[in-house]
Order: sequence, then structure tokens, then C-alpha cells
Amino acid sequence: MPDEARVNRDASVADTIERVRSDRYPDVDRDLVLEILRLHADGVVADNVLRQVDEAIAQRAAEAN
Amino acid sequence: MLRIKSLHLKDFGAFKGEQAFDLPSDEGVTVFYGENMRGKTTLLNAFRFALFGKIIGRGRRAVSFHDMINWEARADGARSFEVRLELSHAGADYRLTRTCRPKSGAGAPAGHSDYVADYYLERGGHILPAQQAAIELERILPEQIARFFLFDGELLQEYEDLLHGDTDMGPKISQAIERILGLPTLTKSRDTLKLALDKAEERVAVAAQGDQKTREFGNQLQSLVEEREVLTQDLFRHERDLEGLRAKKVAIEDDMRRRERMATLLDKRDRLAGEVGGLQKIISEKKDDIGKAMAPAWSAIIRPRLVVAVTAHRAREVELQSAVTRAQVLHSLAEGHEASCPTCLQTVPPEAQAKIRAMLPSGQGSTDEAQRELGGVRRRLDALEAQLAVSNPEALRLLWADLEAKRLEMYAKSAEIEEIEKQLTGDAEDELKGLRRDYDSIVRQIAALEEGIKATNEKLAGNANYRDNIQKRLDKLAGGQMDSERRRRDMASRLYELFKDSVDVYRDQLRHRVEADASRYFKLLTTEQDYAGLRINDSYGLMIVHRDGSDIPVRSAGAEHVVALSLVAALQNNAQLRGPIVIDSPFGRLDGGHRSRIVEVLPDMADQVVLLVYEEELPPARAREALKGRLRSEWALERQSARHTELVKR
Repeated sequence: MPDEARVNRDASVADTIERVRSDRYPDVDRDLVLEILRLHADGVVADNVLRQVDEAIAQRAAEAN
Repeated sequence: MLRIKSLHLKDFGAFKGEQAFDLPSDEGVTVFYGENMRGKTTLLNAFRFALFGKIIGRGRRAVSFHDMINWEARADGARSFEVRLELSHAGADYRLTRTCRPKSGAGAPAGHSDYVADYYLERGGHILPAQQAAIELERILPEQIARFFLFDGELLQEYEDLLHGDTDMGPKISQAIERILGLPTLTKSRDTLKLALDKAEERVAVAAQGDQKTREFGNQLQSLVEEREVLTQDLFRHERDLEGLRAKKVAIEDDMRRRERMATLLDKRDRLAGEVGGLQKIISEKKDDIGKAMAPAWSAIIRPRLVVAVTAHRAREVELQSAVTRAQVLHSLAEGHEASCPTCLQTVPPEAQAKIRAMLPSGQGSTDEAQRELGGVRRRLDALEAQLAVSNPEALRLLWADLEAKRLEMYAKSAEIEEIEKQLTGDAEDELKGLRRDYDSIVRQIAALEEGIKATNEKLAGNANYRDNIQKRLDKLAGGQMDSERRRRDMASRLYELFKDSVDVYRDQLRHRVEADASRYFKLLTTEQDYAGLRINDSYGLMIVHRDGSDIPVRSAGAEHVVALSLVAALQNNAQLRGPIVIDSPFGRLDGGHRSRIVEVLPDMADQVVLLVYEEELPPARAREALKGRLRSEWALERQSARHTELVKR
């Protein structure tokens, strides 16, 4: 078991993904990540979740331009 | 947090009429005492039926709804049963009512298919629409993880499957564990982002096709995107078929395990039949041998006379041989061929030679006659001895005895086959043969599908490589009109990679958490002081670790029980979805020491614990002492008749 896993074993989903994001993907927008997590909370997703994610990405991409 | 408030039964299993129990709102343990066949497992099934519409019997077989209507009530005309569960979850109160009744048009229902089970779910007193009810139920307690809340101690094999990654149940249980631990939020996000990335790539391809400079690459990319679509759909279909086949394989394995006794009998019968065939061949050969040996058997009658004749001929042979030899030596001495006596080696003087000549019978004729007679005696002796050898009755007796022994062996094995066939009904044998055929067929199909999936994945990987290459070339060529599509694609790609990595990281963390908690519970539950804890594998299988660091590779049913309970407790500790544990047969084959420990640790496993036990395995006095202030209520399953049990609060 990696030491990192041992040290961070009590981290939540959000904490974990934020740590990975800031370490390895700092260019990825934090709020967008949280939005995607929210749309998939508890593993139960709406039928149009793909469209919602697509639109969220399109909006961020346009803002970043 | 899911909390059960009460359970209401109507003509469900052994519980005739309307009966109910409530669970206290305080944290703690509720114990139901009931002897065998009083309905303990039926209570577990009541929860299962209410939540999922299913009733499971021994060996995880589905129980027919027809058989669940209380027998006495059915004799009185009842045709339905009902379970109602009142619970709270995430701050809301729910009432779930599930009823099983005959299908309309089913005149006299006789089997499972004649019934239908409907449910409705109320939240805060309002009935929810069907689709919303289904979504809410899925949130409250997904069926996939029910086994960690409705714990049947008799179904431990599936926990052991976690240790072995190549079983078919193992991955299902791993998925269930990850579901309970909250991983689906990440994995579903990752999967959605993969789809979003695919769509983004498709848009890049379409944009590239719109520009003459990039059209060729755009066309190639579009073609690859279409190929990827087809391959992905193939893969999805194969994986779905594979899952179906694996489930069938597990079901057949369960069925075959139940019919193990029949299978053993069948194998034994086939083996014995083979041995009988072998013996028949040997018997036939022995009969041939006896036939050959019988041909000269008549000479056994004259055997004594043969023996006398042989003895006489041997004596005559010796006489004649001596005479011939003596004559030959004397002739040789008389004629001076030999200078010394062959016996005493002394030189024979001439006077002695003269004497010898006088003693000799006249002429060579008598010596030749003796030799002829000797030859004749020897020929007759050979013939007599040959006849004596084949007239040996002892050898024939041995052959007969051997034949008889083989016959007896064959009769014994044939009788055993007959006994076995009495136990094998024609149906059982045919069914088992059918099961084996189906099993072999499914194994072959699974292997073929796995090959197919592997090949499709390889093609997808190749497709991804080609797309990457073209994307890179497009990126160098493209101008402003494709920029926005590229930005979206790049963002989707980065997000997908982020979530993919996060799944792996989170999974490692979860395993470590489960390992630590399961180890802690295990050390509380086990009485073996040389055990240091538990070690987890990639599929959440738990291995017992000795304090010297080595694994305990083989473990008893008792140890399995303790490990399974440790896992359930660890999952409850770490689950995003937390709720009560209902445990049937909590102690299995555990000894008193382990039972005491389990009882003491139970209240820590979940806020609400329901135990279904019989008094001998957990005497009420011991339960009260061990649980102290955390024993919230006690109930008894009291026999009214063989088919009627009443729930009585103590």
C-alpha cells in the first residue's frame, strides 16, 4: 500500500480529487471539477448528465479563451 | 443514515395474520430469539422482500412467492402477503409497502409466475410517483450492497471468493464494496468524461472536415471516430453478455454444488461400470485359459500310474547309463587308449588290461543295444514327464479359483451400481447431465467472449493511437476555426485524466482504510493471540496475518466467519451509506469465546443491530450481560403451530 494512501486514508472524495488536481493537473478548473462531482453524487446520475457536463466544459473553455 | 423504525408483516412465511415489531430509536442491539424453523431467516427475508421484492432460500435460490403465503392463512383462503417497512433516511421519513398478490386472470394460483409483487413508497406521508420511488429506493439502499446490511452467516462462501480474483462472484462483491464506499461518484464521473471526450473529438473531426486544408485529416479522424463507436458498442455488448454468462455460471455452480451428492453418485456409478467392463474382459480371458487347460485334464485320472512309470523309467535310465558308461571305460582301458584309470588315476599295467578284456562281454553289440535301449527309455521318459506336467490338477484348480474371485468381484460391483441407480432418479441424472453440458458450454462461451473482448480492446487501443497521431498533425495545421473545438477537447481530456488518476488514488485509500478497520475489528473478535490482523488484496479479499508477518493461507469456516464480520464492520465504518445490520446466524460454528467477543463488539458495528439467534447459541442472560446498556429490546418467535409463529416482545 503506498505511503500516500496510508497518510491520506481518511480523505473524502472531494479532498482526494483536489489533492490530485493541485499536484498533477493545476491547469484544470477546481469549480468545474466540483460541478462534475455534484452531477454524479452517490453514483446516481440523471439521463442528461452527459449534456450537462458537455455544456459545463464548453462554458469553461469559452471563458478561458 | 438509514434507520429502521418498524416492520409489519401480513401472512408472510410463518407469520400468520398481521404482526409487527418496532426498533428503538436509540443506538443499540435488538435480539430476536427463535428455535429452528420458527422464522428467523424469514424475518431477514422480510427486509429483503420489502426493499427489493426478492426472497432467498438456501443456496441463494429464489423462493417462490406461492410458498411464502402463510400456509394456515392460505388454507383459510388468503392469496396474498405483504410487508411494510417504516424507516428514516437523510432526515426524511419513509413508508415502503410491498404486496404480493395473484396476477389478474390467474384463477387458482399454483406457482411463482402466477403472482406479482407491487410496491409504493411514501415520503413524509405522500406517495411518490413510480419512477421517483425507484430512484429514492436506490439511494436509500441499493440492492447491490444489501449483503453488507442483511447479513446471512450461511452465505460466507461469497466472502471467501474475494480472496480469489478469478472467481465470478468476486468482482461483483468488489463492485458492491466500492459502491458502499462511495467510489461510484468518481467512476461514473470518469465514465461521463470519457463520453464527453469522445464527443469533443468527433466535433474536432467535423470542424476539420469543414476546411480544405484539414479536410483529409478530418475525414480520417471522422472515420476513426465512427470505427471507435462501433468497437465501443461491440465491447459494451460483449461485456454485457459476459456478465450474463458469468451470472449463469455462478447459478449453475450453485446448482451443481447442491447436487454434489448426485454428482458423486453418478461419477461413482460410471467408474464402477468401467471396472465391471474390465472385469468382464478378464473373465472372458480366464475362461479361454481354462478351456485350453481342460484339454489335457483327462490325464489327471492316470496321473498316479504316470508317476510310477516315470519313476521306473528314471531308474532304468540310471541303470542303462551306468552300464553304457562302464562298458565304454573298460573298452578304452582294455584297448590301451587310456593309460590310467579314470577313477583312481593309477596306471593300468598290461596284465590288468588282459584281465579286463576277459571280463568284457564279447563284441560291441551288447553296448550298442544298451545305448539303443537307453535312448528309448529317455524318449518315453520325456513323453511321460510332459504328460505329467499338463495333468497337474492344482494349476487348473488355481485357474478356477481366480475366475470365481473375479466373478464375485464383478457381481459385487454390479450390485453396488444397482443400489446407486435406485438413488439416482432418471430426472436427477438427466438434469445433472444437462447442467454439466450447460456449464461446459457456458465456460466455452465465456472463453470466446473474453478473447473477443481482448481483441476489441486491442483494436480500440490501435484506434486511439491513430486518432492521437492525426490529432497531433491537425493541431499543427489548424487555424482559428478549430481552436474552440480543440480547447473543449483538451479540457475534456485533462478532466478525464484527472478523474482516472483520482479513481486509482481513492481506491488505494479506501482499501487501506478498510484494511485498517477490518484488522482492528478482527483483533477484537478473534481469540487467537498470534494473529496480528488482516491484509487486503485488490479485490477486497482479506488474508489473516500472523504476527511473524506471514499469511495464514487456509482457514476454517469459523475463521471465515470472523473475517466476514470484520469486513462488514469495516465497511459500515467507512461507508458513505450507513444503516442497520440485520444478522441471521451471527455465530455460525464459532466457539463460546468468539461468540462472546462478537456480542460485545456488535454495538460498535452499526447504530442499529438486529440479531436473529436461538437461545442455546446466545443465552439471554449472557446477551444482557455482554451488551449491558446497549441491549435495546428482545423479542421471541413463539410457536403456535408448525406453520404459525407469533412475534412476542419480552
